[in-house]
Amino acid sequence: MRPAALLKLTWLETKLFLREPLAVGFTLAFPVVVMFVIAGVFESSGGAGFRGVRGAEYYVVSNMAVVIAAAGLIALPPHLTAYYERGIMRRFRASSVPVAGVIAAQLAVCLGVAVAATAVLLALARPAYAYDPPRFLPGVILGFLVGMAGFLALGLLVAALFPTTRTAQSVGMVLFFPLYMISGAAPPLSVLPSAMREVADFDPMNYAVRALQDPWFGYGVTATNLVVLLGIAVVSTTGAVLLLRRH
Amino acid sequence: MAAVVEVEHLRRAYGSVLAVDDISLEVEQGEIFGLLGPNGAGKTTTVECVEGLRRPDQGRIRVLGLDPERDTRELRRRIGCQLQQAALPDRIRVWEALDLFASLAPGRVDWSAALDQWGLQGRRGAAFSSLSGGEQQRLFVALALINRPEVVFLDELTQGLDPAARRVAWDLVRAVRDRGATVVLVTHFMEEAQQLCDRIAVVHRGRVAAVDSPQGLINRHGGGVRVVFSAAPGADLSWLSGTPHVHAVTRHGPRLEVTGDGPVLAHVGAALIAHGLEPDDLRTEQPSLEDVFLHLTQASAPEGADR
Repeated sequence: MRPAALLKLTWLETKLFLREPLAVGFTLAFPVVVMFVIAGVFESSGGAGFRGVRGAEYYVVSNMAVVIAAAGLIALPPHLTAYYERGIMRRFRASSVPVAGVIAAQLAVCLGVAVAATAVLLALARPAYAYDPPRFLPGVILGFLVGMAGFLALGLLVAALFPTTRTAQSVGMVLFFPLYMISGAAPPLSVLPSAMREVADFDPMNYAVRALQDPWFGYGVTATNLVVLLGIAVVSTTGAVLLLRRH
Repeated sequence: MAAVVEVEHLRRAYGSVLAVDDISLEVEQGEIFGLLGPNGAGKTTTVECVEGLRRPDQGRIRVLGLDPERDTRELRRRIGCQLQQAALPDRIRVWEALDLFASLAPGRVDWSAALDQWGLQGRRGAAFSSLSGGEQQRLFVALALINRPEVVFLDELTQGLDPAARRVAWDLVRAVRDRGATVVLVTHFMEEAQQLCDRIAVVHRGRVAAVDSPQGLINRHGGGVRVVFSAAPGADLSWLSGTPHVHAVTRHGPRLEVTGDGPVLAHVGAALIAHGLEPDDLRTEQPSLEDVFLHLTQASAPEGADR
């Protein structure tokens, strides 16, 4: 595929994404809304439960992970599954649009939209909560990208596992909400019962939250967070590729 | 004439269902070649193997000298495919689809001409999901032709088109052939095959039952010419069966039906006059492709194919 054609395809996929109300709502609007609600509630809280920063700042940063998870689990799976289910992928393939090119374009669009959604989130939160800038910006960027890799790969796997748009969408939602509830981006982990906190250790979103919080709040870059997310990215992508090859 | 598409002993099963049993065919440069058969005969599976969209279990395929499995990319650039089951994203607009597909074609392609040609000018900015079935179909054909392909595969081209749009589509297919391209047309629609195709392969139960021009098929498999006229119920016409080129005579009340071959009409006419009969409704009924089709698909139950 020529670069010009790939660029055109990516631009087209961007427009298609922006015409998809569910995808736009969940990646662009939902994180901002829940951030304002929950940061507002815990605005003046703080202390160890909020990792030593003000509640408002804690939630502004944590909701970046909500953007990441929504892009991967809610926006991507139904869109990609529909391409297989409805014969769109066959139509494209028959006209020299490689499957890898279509998927690459969709992943690029999800990443681009997530970056834009994060920028919107941070920009809107700034006047309301005057949070401190990241203590270690490169670490935050790294955490964001690795988090995206992990969740886009999970989204690919969901799309590959489920044959219909309807199931891919439901499964994405069903995964998203419980993962969100125990990720630390909803109630702080410190208020969760200990059993639930142990379950949270298996929540990929929890690692995405911490991969952003640690460098932002001055706790450096924690290898565990990145390794877990990268591991998810590698395993899920491998699984998805094997499954999609069979289509 | 060089063969543009060569298929030898193609076989493809889906699980325990044998879709294509043993199909061989050759499509020549510049012709409109039809694959005619009932649903489930294996037509679509065959063309999808030829297009490189499916992998055959067995058999050898060459398209423009290329192997669809090995030289897929080169092949896709030089052929155009309209698929039976396909879709575009719901919210893609007509012009966006044409623009994208044109950007994949070698050289510069002016896709706005395709809008006019296929009567989509007024729907330029419409979302794919808002198009009628006929409009979607026309868009798919426009997309299949946008890279000026050397071979075009049209699978159920006129499905969903109204009769007027169908005629327009037929004219465009002829125009594509006249431009020098080869057309492979999959259809279960007799009139379309008869109107358009230079040669037809009748596909039945995963095999090719016959290949010939429409007229050739009719001559060979149509069951001969029927001469029909009326006669008084009591008239003795037993001499008819002895007339040259007559095979059989059947009588339905006043209506007589004589089947025969070649110049049977002239001989029957001469014999009638010689016997003092001058029916004013003497005529022939030519067998149609439909007769051929029924003859080939009902009479032959090929060994081993029981689906």
